[in-house]
Amino acid sequence: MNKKDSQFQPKHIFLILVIVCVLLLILSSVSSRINSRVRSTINTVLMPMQNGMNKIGGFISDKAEEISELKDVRDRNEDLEDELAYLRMEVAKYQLQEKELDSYKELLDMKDEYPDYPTIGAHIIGENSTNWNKTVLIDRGANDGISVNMNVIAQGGLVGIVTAVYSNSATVRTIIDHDCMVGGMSVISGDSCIVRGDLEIYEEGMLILEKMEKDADIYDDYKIVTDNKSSLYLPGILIGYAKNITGDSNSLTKSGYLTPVVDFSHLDSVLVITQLKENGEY
Amino acid sequence: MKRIIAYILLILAAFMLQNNFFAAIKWIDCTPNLLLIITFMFGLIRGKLDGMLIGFASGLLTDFFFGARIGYYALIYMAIGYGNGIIGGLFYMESSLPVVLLGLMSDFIFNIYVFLTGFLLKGASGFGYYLKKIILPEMVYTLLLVLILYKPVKALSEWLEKTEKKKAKKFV
Repeated sequence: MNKKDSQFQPKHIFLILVIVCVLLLILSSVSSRINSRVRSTINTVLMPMQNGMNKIGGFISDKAEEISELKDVRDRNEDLEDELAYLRMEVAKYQLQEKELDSYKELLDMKDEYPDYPTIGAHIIGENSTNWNKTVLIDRGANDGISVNMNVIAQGGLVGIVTAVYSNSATVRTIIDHDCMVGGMSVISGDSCIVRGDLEIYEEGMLILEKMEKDADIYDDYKIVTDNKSSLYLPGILIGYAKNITGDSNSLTKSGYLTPVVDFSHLDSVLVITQLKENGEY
Repeated sequence: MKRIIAYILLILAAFMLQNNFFAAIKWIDCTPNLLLIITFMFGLIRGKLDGMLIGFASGLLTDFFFGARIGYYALIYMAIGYGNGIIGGLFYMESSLPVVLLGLMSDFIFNIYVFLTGFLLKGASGFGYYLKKIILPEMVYTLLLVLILYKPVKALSEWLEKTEKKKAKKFV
């Protein structure tokens, strides 16, 4: 320590790196454009590997589900007569076909509900690692025409918004994320409200619905869609249904919860709306 | 050189396991923080310099993909690598209990950092909820993985050291 490395001790490198980090933090909070180049490069290199890992994970997940399903079926089998086996097979066949039919129906519905917006399909290939945030990585990027602030939908409802774009992938912040706030309105009355993500509330499958005027015509089970005033979200995208609306203690506003139409825990493919909301409207 | 390649491969593997592989498995709600475990272990075994460099690279990688700001995760991962380097230099860790405790502490500090900077400032209400839902499950993973991974990582580190020494001898 005294002779050999008098110039560069770990202590000094640590201090330098801390300063680098702080500078990067400041730079990247001031301008989002600075980091997009670096991000894109790294992303392009790692993308195929990430995709592969995601597929392996999905495969194992599916297999495990299959195994547990098989167990269920076997347990039930023990209780039933052998004669029923044939019938059950028949039923299973129909169920499969029905499921197929359902998914076709769903696809049709989705297209019917947003006929005006051009969309691109994308798969989710990664999720934020730190358990705190609900951002996901999709396998479409700048090369497919994706850009920041594009809206993302699935299962007929709003999923979130693109927050960063790389050449072959993009990060989407979902509406259940802690940082996320979306302006909403009731389809029936046009009264506005704010939909806010919250990890704790989402545990029960819900989001927070707040900042409604006391007299606003929003009650339980009302359809909530994105409003016209938002600068980021396209108007008229279904978010979910109002629930448990109660008056606030200040007696000026009321708030409640919102059940999203999208099932975020079983999300693997989404549609990205390639039309951006015009800036400066609000 | 070999060491650097090994580190890069380890970090990339951990990153992808954490973000792509575990994320795809739907019944895992909470993913283990592998990058943190690697950072902490190499800090402890190899010292301040290795710990903080691995931490810095791991954090930066996370920042590039998921961070709203670059440098946010790099800072904490790096600090954890460095801190464990200091502790590793002070004590000789033979039994696994202090190692596990240090791992848990590192994980706890990491999560407290995220909570304080990212959540408390925005008015998140109950710390108890986040402790129960995120911090404790992650610490359980950390506990298990430290127990499983510490010996292999140490062996890998020793093997790298040996090959480096051999090379050094050749040149002398």
